[in-house]
Amino acid sequence: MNSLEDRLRELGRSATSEDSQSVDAVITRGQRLRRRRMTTRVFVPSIAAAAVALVGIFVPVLGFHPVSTTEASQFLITVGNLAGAQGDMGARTAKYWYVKTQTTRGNCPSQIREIWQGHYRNGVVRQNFPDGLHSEPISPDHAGTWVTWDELWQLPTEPDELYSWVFDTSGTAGPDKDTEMWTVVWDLLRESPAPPALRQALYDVAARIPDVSITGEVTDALGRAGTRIERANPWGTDAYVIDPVNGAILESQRQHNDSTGLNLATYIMRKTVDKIPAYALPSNNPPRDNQVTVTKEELQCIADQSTTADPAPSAIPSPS
Amino acid sequence: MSIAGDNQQVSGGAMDFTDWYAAEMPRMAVAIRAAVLDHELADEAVSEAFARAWLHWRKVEHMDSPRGWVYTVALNQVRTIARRTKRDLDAIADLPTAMTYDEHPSDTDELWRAVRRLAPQARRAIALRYIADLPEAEVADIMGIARGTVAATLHRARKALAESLTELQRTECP
Repeated sequence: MNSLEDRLRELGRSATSEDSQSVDAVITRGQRLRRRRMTTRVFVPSIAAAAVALVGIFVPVLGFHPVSTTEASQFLITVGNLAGAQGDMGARTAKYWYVKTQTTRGNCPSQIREIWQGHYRNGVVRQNFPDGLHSEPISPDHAGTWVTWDELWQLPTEPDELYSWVFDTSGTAGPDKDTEMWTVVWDLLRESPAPPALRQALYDVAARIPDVSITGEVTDALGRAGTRIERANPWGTDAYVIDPVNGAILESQRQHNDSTGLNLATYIMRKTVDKIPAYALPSNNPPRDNQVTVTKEELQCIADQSTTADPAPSAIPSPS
Repeated sequence: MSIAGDNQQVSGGAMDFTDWYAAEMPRMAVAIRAAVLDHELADEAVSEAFARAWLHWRKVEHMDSPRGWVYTVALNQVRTIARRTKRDLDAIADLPTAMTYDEHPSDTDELWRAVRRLAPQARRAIALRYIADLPEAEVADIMGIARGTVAATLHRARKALAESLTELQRTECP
Protein backbone atom coordinates (compact mmCIF):
# COMPACT_ATOMS: atom_id res chain seq x y z
CA MET A 1 0.00 0.00 0.00
CA ASN A 2 1.33 3.41 -0.92
CA SER A 3 1.87 5.99 1.77
CA LEU A 4 -0.76 8.58 2.40
CA GLU A 5 1.46 11.18 0.77
CA ASP A 6 1.80 9.06 -2.36
CA ARG A 7 -1.93 8.50 -2.55
CA LEU A 8 -2.53 12.24 -2.28
CA ARG A 9 0.00 12.95 -4.99
CA GLU A 10 -1.70 10.41 -7.19
CA LEU A 11 -4.92 12.41 -6.93
CA GLY A 12 -3.11 15.23 -8.70
CA ARG A 13 -1.13 13.07 -11.11
CA SER A 14 -4.25 11.27 -12.27
CA ALA A 15 -5.96 14.49 -13.28
CA THR A 16 -6.61 14.64 -16.99
CA SER A 17 -7.35 17.34 -19.46
CA GLU A 18 -11.02 16.51 -19.00
CA ASP A 19 -10.72 18.44 -15.77
CA SER A 20 -9.69 21.63 -17.53
CA GLN A 21 -10.70 24.15 -20.13
CA SER A 22 -9.15 24.13 -23.56
CA VAL A 23 -6.11 26.32 -23.96
CA ASP A 24 -7.90 28.30 -26.65
CA ALA A 25 -10.62 29.25 -24.18
CA VAL A 26 -8.03 30.45 -21.69
CA ILE A 27 -6.14 32.41 -24.31
CA THR A 28 -9.34 34.00 -25.50
CA ARG A 29 -9.92 35.06 -21.93
CA GLY A 30 -6.38 36.43 -21.78
CA GLN A 31 -6.99 38.39 -24.95
CA ARG A 32 -10.07 39.92 -23.33
CA LEU A 33 -7.91 40.92 -20.38
CA ARG A 34 -5.43 42.49 -22.75
CA ARG A 35 -8.18 44.33 -24.50
CA ARG A 36 -9.52 45.57 -21.20
CA ARG A 37 -6.04 46.77 -20.35
CA MET A 38 -6.00 48.57 -23.66
CA THR A 39 -9.33 50.17 -23.10
CA THR A 40 -10.03 50.80 -19.47
CA ARG A 41 -6.82 49.63 -17.84
CA VAL A 42 -7.20 47.24 -15.00
CA PHE A 43 -8.67 49.49 -12.45
CA VAL A 44 -11.44 51.34 -14.18
CA PRO A 45 -14.38 50.03 -12.22
CA SER A 46 -17.21 48.35 -13.95
CA ILE A 47 -19.80 50.05 -11.83
CA ALA A 48 -18.59 53.54 -12.25
CA ALA A 49 -21.51 55.77 -12.61
CA ALA A 50 -22.72 58.65 -14.60
CA ALA A 51 -23.57 62.11 -14.56
CA VAL A 52 -20.49 63.99 -15.54
CA ALA A 53 -21.65 65.93 -18.50
CA LEU A 54 -19.16 64.97 -21.10
CA VAL A 55 -20.33 67.58 -23.49
CA GLY A 56 -18.18 70.56 -22.83
CA ILE A 57 -15.29 68.70 -21.33
CA PHE A 58 -13.31 69.34 -24.43
CA VAL A 59 -12.86 72.96 -25.14
CA PRO A 60 -11.06 73.36 -28.39
CA VAL A 61 -9.29 76.62 -28.72
CA LEU A 62 -10.81 78.71 -31.43
CA GLY A 63 -9.03 78.18 -34.68
CA PHE A 64 -7.00 75.22 -33.43
CA HIS A 65 -6.72 72.39 -35.91
CA PRO A 66 -5.26 68.89 -35.66
CA VAL A 67 -1.62 68.94 -36.52
CA SER A 68 0.70 66.43 -38.02
CA THR A 69 2.39 63.57 -36.31
CA THR A 70 5.66 65.48 -36.64
CA GLU A 71 4.28 68.25 -34.48
CA ALA A 72 2.80 65.71 -32.07
CA SER A 73 6.21 64.09 -31.84
CA GLN A 74 7.84 67.40 -31.08
CA PHE A 75 5.20 68.07 -28.42
CA LEU A 76 5.87 64.69 -26.79
CA ILE A 77 9.60 65.33 -26.74
CA THR A 78 9.01 68.75 -25.21
CA VAL A 79 6.73 67.51 -22.44
CA GLY A 80 9.13 64.64 -21.91
CA ASN A 81 11.89 67.12 -21.20
CA LEU A 82 9.59 68.85 -18.72
CA ALA A 83 8.67 65.56 -17.05
CA GLY A 84 12.34 64.65 -16.83
CA ALA A 85 13.07 67.87 -14.97
CA GLN A 86 10.60 67.11 -12.19
CA GLY A 87 11.64 65.70 -8.83
CA ASP A 88 11.32 62.00 -8.12
CA MET A 89 9.41 62.53 -4.84
CA GLY A 90 11.69 60.02 -3.16
CA ALA A 91 10.06 57.24 -5.14
CA ARG A 92 13.22 55.15 -5.41
CA THR A 93 12.92 54.03 -1.80
CA ALA A 94 9.37 55.05 -0.91
CA LYS A 95 7.10 52.57 0.79
CA TYR A 96 3.95 53.29 -1.20
CA TRP A 97 3.00 55.06 -4.39
CA TYR A 98 -0.41 56.68 -4.03
CA VAL A 99 -2.58 57.54 -7.02
CA LYS A 100 -6.03 59.06 -6.73
CA THR A 101 -8.16 58.95 -9.84
CA GLN A 102 -11.61 60.00 -10.86
CA THR A 103 -13.02 57.49 -13.28
CA THR A 104 -15.99 58.00 -15.53
CA ARG A 105 -17.44 55.50 -17.89
CA GLY A 106 -19.76 56.77 -20.56
CA ASN A 107 -22.65 58.62 -19.04
CA CYS A 108 -22.32 56.89 -15.71
CA PRO A 109 -21.57 58.93 -12.59
CA SER A 110 -17.93 59.51 -11.80
CA GLN A 111 -16.29 57.78 -8.92
CA ILE A 112 -13.02 57.91 -7.06
CA ARG A 113 -10.44 55.18 -7.08
CA GLU A 114 -7.45 55.22 -4.75
CA ILE A 115 -4.46 52.95 -4.97
CA TRP A 116 -1.54 52.55 -2.61
CA GLN A 117 0.99 50.53 -4.57
CA GLY A 118 3.35 48.81 -2.16
CA HIS A 119 7.05 48.83 -2.84
CA TYR A 120 8.04 46.19 -0.31
CA ARG A 121 4.72 44.77 0.83
CA ASN A 122 1.12 44.49 -0.25
CA GLY A 123 -0.67 47.64 -1.25
CA VAL A 124 -4.35 48.37 -1.52
CA VAL A 125 -6.81 49.46 -4.16
CA ARG A 126 -9.98 51.11 -2.90
CA GLN A 127 -12.80 51.54 -5.34
CA ASN A 128 -16.38 50.63 -6.03
CA PHE A 129 -16.70 46.96 -6.76
CA PRO A 130 -20.05 45.49 -7.79
CA ASP A 131 -20.82 44.81 -4.16
CA GLY A 132 -19.87 48.23 -2.97
CA LEU A 133 -16.94 50.44 -2.04
CA HIS A 134 -14.18 48.56 -0.34
CA SER A 135 -10.46 47.82 -0.43
CA GLU A 136 -8.64 44.92 -1.97
CA PRO A 137 -5.01 44.02 -1.34
CA ILE A 138 -2.61 44.18 -4.27
CA SER A 139 0.78 42.60 -4.53
CA PRO A 140 4.01 44.60 -4.50
CA ASP A 141 5.28 42.59 -7.42
CA HIS A 142 3.90 44.88 -10.03
CA ALA A 143 4.22 48.63 -9.91
CA GLY A 144 0.91 49.27 -11.58
CA THR A 145 2.33 47.55 -14.63
CA TRP A 146 3.85 44.18 -15.34
CA VAL A 147 7.29 45.22 -14.13
CA THR A 148 8.11 45.58 -10.48
CA TRP A 149 8.85 48.86 -8.79
CA ASP A 150 12.58 48.16 -8.66
CA GLU A 151 12.64 46.87 -12.22
CA LEU A 152 11.02 50.12 -13.27
CA TRP A 153 13.91 52.02 -11.78
CA GLN A 154 16.39 49.83 -13.63
CA LEU A 155 14.91 50.30 -17.09
CA PRO A 156 17.15 52.12 -19.56
CA THR A 157 16.68 55.86 -19.70
CA GLU A 158 18.63 56.31 -22.90
CA PRO A 159 15.87 56.69 -25.52
CA ASP A 160 17.33 54.31 -28.12
CA GLU A 161 17.89 51.61 -25.52
CA LEU A 162 14.43 52.10 -24.08
CA TYR A 163 12.91 52.00 -27.56
CA SER A 164 14.59 48.64 -28.12
CA TRP A 165 13.31 47.40 -24.79
CA VAL A 166 9.75 48.53 -25.54
CA PHE A 167 10.01 46.99 -29.00
CA ASP A 168 11.12 43.67 -27.57
CA THR A 169 8.64 43.78 -24.71
CA SER A 170 5.69 44.43 -26.97
CA GLY A 171 6.56 41.24 -28.85
CA THR A 172 3.82 40.07 -31.16
CA ALA A 173 0.99 41.00 -28.85
CA GLY A 174 -1.74 43.45 -29.73
CA PRO A 175 -3.32 44.16 -33.08
CA ASP A 176 -0.14 45.65 -34.49
CA LYS A 177 3.33 46.55 -33.33
CA ASP A 178 2.79 50.30 -33.05
CA THR A 179 -0.41 49.93 -31.05
CA GLU A 180 1.18 47.53 -28.61
CA MET A 181 4.25 49.74 -28.19
CA TRP A 182 1.95 52.69 -27.55
CA THR A 183 0.17 50.62 -24.93
CA VAL A 184 3.40 49.58 -23.23
CA VAL A 185 4.68 53.16 -23.07
CA TRP A 186 1.53 54.60 -21.55
CA ASP A 187 1.08 51.71 -19.15
CA LEU A 188 4.46 52.65 -17.75
CA LEU A 189 3.74 56.36 -17.72
CA ARG A 190 0.23 56.49 -16.34
CA GLU A 191 0.25 55.30 -12.77
CA SER A 192 3.68 53.94 -12.03
CA PRO A 193 6.36 55.40 -9.74
CA ALA A 194 8.69 55.73 -12.73
CA PRO A 195 11.69 58.00 -12.19
CA PRO A 196 11.73 61.31 -14.08
CA ALA A 197 14.51 60.21 -16.41
CA LEU A 198 12.48 57.18 -17.43
CA ARG A 199 9.37 59.28 -17.96
CA GLN A 200 11.36 61.53 -20.26
CA ALA A 201 12.65 58.57 -22.21
CA LEU A 202 9.16 57.05 -22.41
CA TYR A 203 7.82 60.26 -23.92
CA ASP A 204 10.68 60.10 -26.39
CA VAL A 205 9.68 56.57 -27.37
CA ALA A 206 6.06 57.68 -27.69
CA ALA A 207 7.24 60.43 -30.02
CA ARG A 208 8.62 57.80 -32.41
CA ILE A 209 5.32 55.93 -32.70
CA PRO A 210 3.43 56.96 -35.83
CA ASP A 211 -0.11 58.16 -36.31
CA VAL A 212 -0.27 60.36 -33.24
CA SER A 213 -1.85 63.76 -33.51
CA ILE A 214 -2.50 66.76 -31.34
CA THR A 215 -6.17 67.56 -31.29
CA GLY A 216 -6.20 70.71 -29.25
CA GLU A 217 -5.98 72.55 -26.01
CA VAL A 218 -8.65 71.13 -23.75
CA THR A 219 -9.75 71.01 -20.15
CA ASP A 220 -10.06 67.73 -18.38
CA ALA A 221 -13.00 66.55 -16.28
CA LEU A 222 -11.66 68.58 -13.37
CA GLY A 223 -11.32 71.72 -15.45
CA ARG A 224 -7.54 71.65 -15.73
CA ALA A 225 -6.01 72.90 -18.96
CA GLY A 226 -3.91 70.56 -21.03
CA THR A 227 -2.97 69.49 -24.52
CA ARG A 228 -4.76 66.50 -25.95
CA ILE A 229 -2.97 63.96 -28.10
CA GLU A 230 -4.64 60.96 -29.61
CA ARG A 231 -3.94 57.83 -31.53
CA ALA A 232 -6.48 55.62 -33.26
CA ASN A 233 -6.30 51.87 -32.83
CA PRO A 234 -8.49 49.04 -34.12
CA TRP A 235 -10.82 49.36 -31.14
CA GLY A 236 -11.23 53.10 -31.04
CA THR A 237 -9.22 56.09 -29.98
CA ASP A 238 -6.69 56.33 -27.20
CA ALA A 239 -6.05 59.88 -26.02
CA TYR A 240 -4.23 61.67 -23.23
CA VAL A 241 -4.47 65.16 -21.84
CA ILE A 242 -1.02 66.31 -20.83
CA ASP A 243 -0.08 69.26 -18.69
CA PRO A 244 2.18 71.35 -20.96
CA VAL A 245 3.80 72.94 -17.91
CA ASN A 246 5.25 69.86 -16.27
CA GLY A 247 4.53 66.93 -18.57
CA ALA A 248 2.13 65.26 -16.13
CA ILE A 249 -0.68 63.13 -17.50
CA LEU A 250 -3.90 64.78 -16.45
CA GLU A 251 -6.38 62.45 -18.05
CA SER A 252 -6.66 59.28 -20.07
CA GLN A 253 -9.54 59.16 -22.58
CA ARG A 254 -10.65 56.08 -24.43
CA GLN A 255 -13.38 56.09 -27.00
CA HIS A 256 -14.59 52.72 -28.20
CA ASN A 257 -15.72 52.06 -31.72
CA ASP A 258 -18.69 50.13 -30.42
CA SER A 259 -20.31 53.32 -29.19
CA THR A 260 -20.19 52.31 -25.57
CA GLY A 261 -19.07 55.74 -24.65
CA LEU A 262 -16.00 57.58 -23.54
CA ASN A 263 -13.98 56.21 -20.64
CA LEU A 264 -12.07 58.74 -18.60
CA ALA A 265 -9.45 58.33 -15.94
CA THR A 266 -8.67 61.73 -14.51
CA TYR A 267 -5.58 61.76 -12.32
CA ILE A 268 -6.09 63.82 -9.22
CA MET A 269 -2.97 63.05 -7.24
CA ARG A 270 0.23 61.02 -7.40
CA LYS A 271 2.62 60.97 -4.50
CA THR A 272 4.75 58.79 -2.27
CA VAL A 273 3.44 57.92 1.19
CA ASP A 274 4.75 56.00 4.16
CA LYS A 275 1.63 54.08 5.05
CA ILE A 276 -1.85 53.14 4.01
CA PRO A 277 -4.45 55.11 5.95
CA ALA A 278 -6.67 53.15 8.29
CA TYR A 279 -9.85 53.81 6.33
CA ALA A 280 -8.37 52.07 3.29
CA LEU A 281 -7.15 48.93 4.99
CA PRO A 282 -9.06 45.85 3.85
CA SER A 283 -9.56 44.93 7.49
CA ASN A 284 -11.67 48.07 7.84
CA ASN A 285 -13.97 47.30 4.95
CA PRO A 286 -17.56 48.04 5.84
CA PRO A 287 -19.77 45.18 6.92
CA ARG A 288 -21.04 43.35 3.89
CA ASP A 289 -24.63 44.34 4.56
CA ASN A 290 -23.61 47.96 4.20
CA GLN A 291 -21.50 47.52 1.12
CA VAL A 292 -24.08 47.50 -1.57
CA THR A 293 -24.16 51.03 -2.77
CA VAL A 294 -25.20 50.47 -6.32
CA THR A 295 -28.67 51.51 -7.29
CA LYS A 296 -30.77 49.80 -9.91
CA GLU A 297 -30.27 52.81 -12.14
CA GLU A 298 -26.51 52.57 -11.77
CA LEU A 299 -26.54 48.89 -12.55
CA GLN A 300 -28.59 49.53 -15.66
CA CYS A 301 -26.17 52.24 -16.63
CA ILE A 302 -23.31 49.84 -16.29
CA ALA A 303 -25.13 47.19 -18.26
CA ASP A 304 -25.72 49.69 -21.01
CA GLN A 305 -22.12 50.81 -21.02
CA SER A 306 -20.46 47.47 -20.53
CA THR A 307 -18.08 46.52 -23.30
CA THR A 308 -17.04 43.06 -22.25
CA ALA A 309 -18.41 40.06 -20.48
CA ASP A 310 -15.46 40.07 -18.12
CA PRO A 311 -16.10 40.13 -14.42
CA ALA A 312 -15.33 43.31 -12.58
CA PRO A 313 -11.67 44.18 -12.69
CA SER A 314 -9.41 43.25 -9.86
CA ALA A 315 -5.84 43.76 -8.90
CA ILE A 316 -3.01 42.74 -11.14
CA PRO A 317 -2.04 39.15 -10.56
CA SER A 318 0.63 38.63 -8.05
CA PRO A 319 2.86 36.01 -6.60
CA SER A 320 2.67 37.46 -3.12
CA MET B 1 -3.12 28.05 -36.70
CA SER B 2 -4.60 27.89 -33.28
CA ILE B 3 -5.15 30.87 -31.07
CA ALA B 4 -2.32 29.59 -28.96
CA GLY B 5 0.04 30.11 -31.82
CA ASP B 6 -1.03 33.66 -32.26
CA ASN B 7 0.61 35.09 -29.19
CA GLN B 8 3.00 34.37 -26.39
CA GLN B 9 4.63 31.54 -28.27
CA VAL B 10 8.26 31.96 -27.56
CA SER B 11 10.93 30.38 -29.61
CA GLY B 12 14.57 29.88 -28.88
CA GLY B 13 14.29 27.41 -26.03
CA ALA B 14 11.90 29.29 -23.80
CA MET B 15 8.76 27.61 -22.56
CA ASP B 16 5.73 27.59 -24.76
CA PHE B 17 2.56 28.66 -23.01
CA THR B 18 0.43 25.99 -24.63
CA ASP B 19 2.77 23.20 -23.59
CA TRP B 20 3.07 24.58 -20.08
CA TYR B 21 -0.69 24.93 -19.81
CA ALA B 22 -1.25 21.36 -20.96
CA ALA B 23 1.22 20.13 -18.38
CA GLU B 24 -0.01 22.19 -15.46
CA MET B 25 -3.71 22.82 -15.91
CA PRO B 26 -5.26 19.41 -15.17
CA ARG B 27 -3.45 18.97 -11.89
CA MET B 28 -4.06 22.55 -10.89
CA ALA B 29 -7.77 22.31 -11.63
CA VAL B 30 -8.07 19.33 -9.32
CA ALA B 31 -5.85 20.85 -6.63
CA ILE B 32 -7.74 24.12 -6.45
CA ARG B 33 -11.04 22.29 -6.39
CA ALA B 34 -9.74 20.31 -3.45
CA ALA B 35 -8.46 23.46 -1.79
CA VAL B 36 -11.72 25.39 -1.94
CA LEU B 37 -14.34 22.69 -2.60
CA ASP B 38 -16.64 24.90 -4.63
CA HIS B 39 -16.12 23.69 -8.19
CA GLU B 40 -17.58 26.71 -9.90
CA LEU B 41 -15.52 29.09 -7.83
CA ALA B 42 -12.35 27.03 -8.27
CA ASP B 43 -12.72 26.64 -12.02
CA GLU B 44 -13.38 30.33 -12.49
CA ALA B 45 -10.32 31.23 -10.44
CA VAL B 46 -8.08 28.76 -12.26
CA SER B 47 -9.26 29.95 -15.64
CA GLU B 48 -8.59 33.56 -14.70
CA ALA B 49 -5.17 32.70 -13.30
CA PHE B 50 -4.07 30.98 -16.50
CA ALA B 51 -5.49 33.80 -18.61
CA ARG B 52 -3.33 36.20 -16.62
CA ALA B 53 -0.36 33.89 -16.98
CA TRP B 54 -0.86 34.01 -20.73
CA LEU B 55 -1.17 37.79 -20.63
CA HIS B 56 2.06 38.16 -18.64
CA TRP B 57 3.78 35.15 -20.16
CA ARG B 58 6.97 36.92 -21.10
CA LYS B 59 7.53 37.61 -17.45
CA VAL B 60 5.93 34.53 -15.95
CA GLU B 61 7.94 32.07 -18.01
CA HIS B 62 11.16 33.43 -16.55
CA MET B 63 10.02 33.29 -12.95
CA ASP B 64 11.67 30.85 -10.61
CA SER B 65 8.36 29.06 -10.27
CA PRO B 66 5.66 29.82 -12.82
CA ARG B 67 3.62 27.09 -11.12
CA GLY B 68 3.83 28.82 -7.76
CA TRP B 69 2.85 32.10 -9.34
CA VAL B 70 -0.23 30.75 -11.07
CA TYR B 71 -1.37 28.92 -7.93
CA THR B 72 -1.00 32.14 -5.98
CA VAL B 73 -3.00 34.07 -8.54
CA ALA B 74 -5.68 31.39 -8.54
CA LEU B 75 -6.09 31.50 -4.77
CA ASN B 76 -6.10 35.30 -4.84
CA GLN B 77 -8.83 35.02 -7.43
CA VAL B 78 -10.78 32.65 -5.22
CA ARG B 79 -10.85 35.30 -2.51
CA THR B 80 -11.68 38.07 -4.96
CA ILE B 81 -14.48 36.15 -6.65
CA ALA B 82 -15.86 35.01 -3.32
CA ARG B 83 -15.99 38.61 -2.20
CA ARG B 84 -17.46 39.83 -5.44
CA THR B 85 -20.14 37.22 -5.49
CA LYS B 86 -20.71 37.68 -1.77
CA ARG B 87 -19.73 34.14 -0.99
CA ASP B 88 -18.24 33.54 2.39
CA LEU B 89 -15.19 31.49 1.60
CA ASP B 90 -14.97 29.75 4.94
CA ALA B 91 -18.68 29.06 4.92
CA ILE B 92 -18.29 27.47 1.53
CA ALA B 93 -15.44 25.40 2.75
CA ASP B 94 -17.39 24.29 5.78
CA LEU B 95 -20.55 23.32 3.95
CA PRO B 96 -21.47 19.68 4.18
CA THR B 97 -19.71 17.61 1.58
CA ALA B 98 -22.81 16.59 -0.27
CA MET B 99 -23.70 20.20 -0.99
CA THR B 100 -20.37 21.19 -2.42
CA TYR B 101 -18.66 18.29 -4.07
CA ASP B 102 -21.32 16.04 -5.37
CA GLU B 103 -20.33 16.11 -9.02
CA HIS B 104 -16.68 15.25 -8.81
CA PRO B 105 -15.88 12.00 -10.56
CA SER B 106 -13.79 10.94 -7.58
CA ASP B 107 -16.53 11.69 -5.13
CA THR B 108 -16.79 8.13 -3.98
CA ASP B 109 -13.14 7.87 -3.28
CA GLU B 110 -12.45 7.62 0.40
CA LEU B 111 -9.40 9.77 0.18
CA TRP B 112 -11.26 12.60 -1.50
CA ARG B 113 -13.93 12.39 1.13
CA ALA B 114 -11.35 12.51 3.85
CA VAL B 115 -9.67 15.52 2.28
CA ARG B 116 -12.97 17.31 2.15
CA ARG B 117 -13.46 16.77 5.85
CA LEU B 118 -10.31 18.70 6.70
CA ALA B 119 -10.39 22.22 8.08
CA PRO B 120 -9.96 24.87 5.36
CA GLN B 121 -6.31 25.72 6.05
CA ALA B 122 -5.33 22.07 6.40
CA ARG B 123 -7.14 21.20 3.20
CA ARG B 124 -5.41 23.98 1.29
CA ALA B 125 -2.04 22.88 2.59
CA ILE B 126 -2.71 19.28 1.58
CA ALA B 127 -3.99 20.38 -1.83
CA LEU B 128 -0.93 22.49 -2.54
CA ARG B 129 1.73 20.25 -1.01
CA TYR B 130 0.58 16.87 -2.28
CA ILE B 131 -2.14 17.16 -4.90
CA ALA B 132 -0.33 20.03 -6.62
CA ASP B 133 3.00 18.55 -5.51
CA LEU B 134 4.54 21.92 -4.68
CA PRO B 135 7.56 22.20 -2.38
CA GLU B 136 6.83 23.12 1.20
CA ALA B 137 8.55 26.48 0.84
CA GLU B 138 6.30 27.41 -2.06
CA VAL B 139 3.23 26.33 -0.16
CA ALA B 140 4.32 28.68 2.61
CA ASP B 141 4.74 31.54 0.15
CA ILE B 142 1.42 30.88 -1.53
CA MET B 143 -0.51 30.60 1.71
CA GLY B 144 1.32 33.53 3.25
CA ILE B 145 2.37 31.59 6.33
CA ALA B 146 5.70 30.48 7.77
CA ARG B 147 7.28 27.30 6.51
CA GLY B 148 7.20 25.86 10.00
CA THR B 149 3.48 26.54 10.15
CA VAL B 150 3.04 24.67 6.88
CA ALA B 151 4.94 21.69 8.24
CA ALA B 152 2.88 21.68 11.42
CA THR B 153 -0.35 22.08 9.47
CA LEU B 154 0.57 19.22 7.17
CA HIS B 155 1.50 17.02 10.10
CA ARG B 156 -1.87 17.59 11.75
CA ALA B 157 -3.67 17.23 8.43
CA ARG B 158 -2.04 13.87 7.67
CA LYS B 159 -2.99 12.66 11.12
CA ALA B 160 -6.56 13.82 10.65
CA LEU B 161 -6.70 12.21 7.23
CA ALA B 162 -5.48 8.89 8.57
CA GLU B 163 -8.07 8.99 11.33
CA SER B 164 -10.77 9.99 8.90
CA LEU B 165 -9.86 7.21 6.48
CA THR B 166 -9.99 4.69 9.29
CA GLU B 167 -13.37 5.99 10.32
CA LEU B 168 -14.69 5.88 6.77
CA GLN B 169 -13.47 2.34 6.30
CA ARG B 170 -15.06 1.31 9.58
CA THR B 171 -18.34 2.96 8.54
CA GLU B 172 -18.48 1.48 5.08
CA CYS B 173 -17.04 -1.94 5.71
CA PRO B 174 -18.49 -3.18 8.97
